Amino acid sequence: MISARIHISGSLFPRLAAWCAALVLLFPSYAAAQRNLGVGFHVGAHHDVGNMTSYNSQFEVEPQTSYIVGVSFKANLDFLFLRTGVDIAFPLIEGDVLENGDATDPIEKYSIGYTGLPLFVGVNFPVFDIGEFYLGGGIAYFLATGTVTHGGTEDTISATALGFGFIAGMQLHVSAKIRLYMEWEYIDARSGASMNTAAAPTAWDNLYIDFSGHRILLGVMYYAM
Amino acid sequence: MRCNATAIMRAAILLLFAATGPLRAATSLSVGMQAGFMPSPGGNLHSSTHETIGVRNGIDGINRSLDGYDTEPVDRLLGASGGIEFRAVFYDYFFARLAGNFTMAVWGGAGTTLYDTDPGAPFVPETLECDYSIYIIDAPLTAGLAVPFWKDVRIAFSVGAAFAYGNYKNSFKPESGGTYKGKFRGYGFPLVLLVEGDYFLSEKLSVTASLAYYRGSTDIRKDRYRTDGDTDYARIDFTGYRFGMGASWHFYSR
Repeated sequence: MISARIHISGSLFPRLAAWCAALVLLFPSYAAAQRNLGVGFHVGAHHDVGNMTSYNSQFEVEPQTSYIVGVSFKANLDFLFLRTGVDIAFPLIEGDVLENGDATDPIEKYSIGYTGLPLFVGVNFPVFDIGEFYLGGGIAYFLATGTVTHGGTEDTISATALGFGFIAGMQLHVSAKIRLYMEWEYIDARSGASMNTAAAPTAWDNLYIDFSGHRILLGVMYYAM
Repeated sequence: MRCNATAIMRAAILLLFAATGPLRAATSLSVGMQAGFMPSPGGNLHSSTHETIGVRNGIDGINRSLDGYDTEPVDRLLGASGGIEFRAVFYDYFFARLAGNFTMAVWGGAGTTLYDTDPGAPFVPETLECDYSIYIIDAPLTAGLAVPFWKDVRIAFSVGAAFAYGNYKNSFKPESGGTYKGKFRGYGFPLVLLVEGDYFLSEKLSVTASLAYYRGSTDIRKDRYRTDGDTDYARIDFTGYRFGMGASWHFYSR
């Protein structure tokens, strides 16, 4: 069953890529119409980093909120776009387990920072010469480090995860080369077990980092090409 | 069951007849295809068997690792989807959409974890092979507003509900022997929010991208495997985001 699923996965993405390429080739005038590449800088936020109430429903949590600083690259090929970049998230409000009804998992506080590398593909919807909306789907890779206080001791945690999600954004033309942009990203990603927080005698790693959530970004993009 | 099927068929025929009237008022009709994906189809896939191995949040909490044990993380599922859509725009701004989609898990859901063979006694972990799979068939019907930007772009926002059928399977195989399987089938009517954009390549053909959010699940379903000595219970959760891209043929417009 597993090999069958991998087989489907392997054949689906090349077909999708071929289908997109065929669309571009079928409409060369459109493909040649607007090609540009922008470099942007943005700030943003991610609320409830770690999704601790989803990790353990017996936690009453003051969720962690992080601010995001990032660089983005957006390549437009008329109706298609490719959007990538680097986002770094720093804790603004650290997570606090206010009430813990689970004596077997005595987590008290947590603080997680991460770097995200997203890659989205989608469709641009230009609005006259004012700006554009865009909607795309894609993947993101996350690397996280942080600290978790459990049972009175503070331990460091590090984890990685691959996730999937979408981006919905809009750009406003300020000048021929400069645009303001606002984006909403949702990415679903969760690491494997990375740290032991379970009470003794349980010794296995059980805590994972859940990167899933909504991110709002605001920035300025310069179109160099 | 037969009675239900007949009633559904009759309702579908009635709906088709009822739709022919308003369709005469349509200023644009289109048919299209989309392919896309859905992160975490089925949500956390929690079932009562998870509770017996000390897991309270399904596939999310299934992972455990320990030095000396050969484990492999069980990733959340990724669903690939494909579907067809039929759309009508009335009086330039009013939008209705009926679609049919098939989504199946193509990545994640398999690995090896640990469980405590005798909770409460001295800690005795044992490896446990896990496998999750799901497929969903759904037909969302939504209505809303479409905003055209000249003849190049149209963006539509709509809300509605879907008929969704799910088939979810799980399997847990301890190192010491035996396999505990769960198989669940059921349907529900999740609420649907949808935003969809059209980029017109010509008067008749557009490239589309859509983002849908479903919220809803089946009621609690009983495991359909009878021979593994374990009776499991689970909901099939249709909640989640679905992204799709495709093309539409606008075969009628006036």
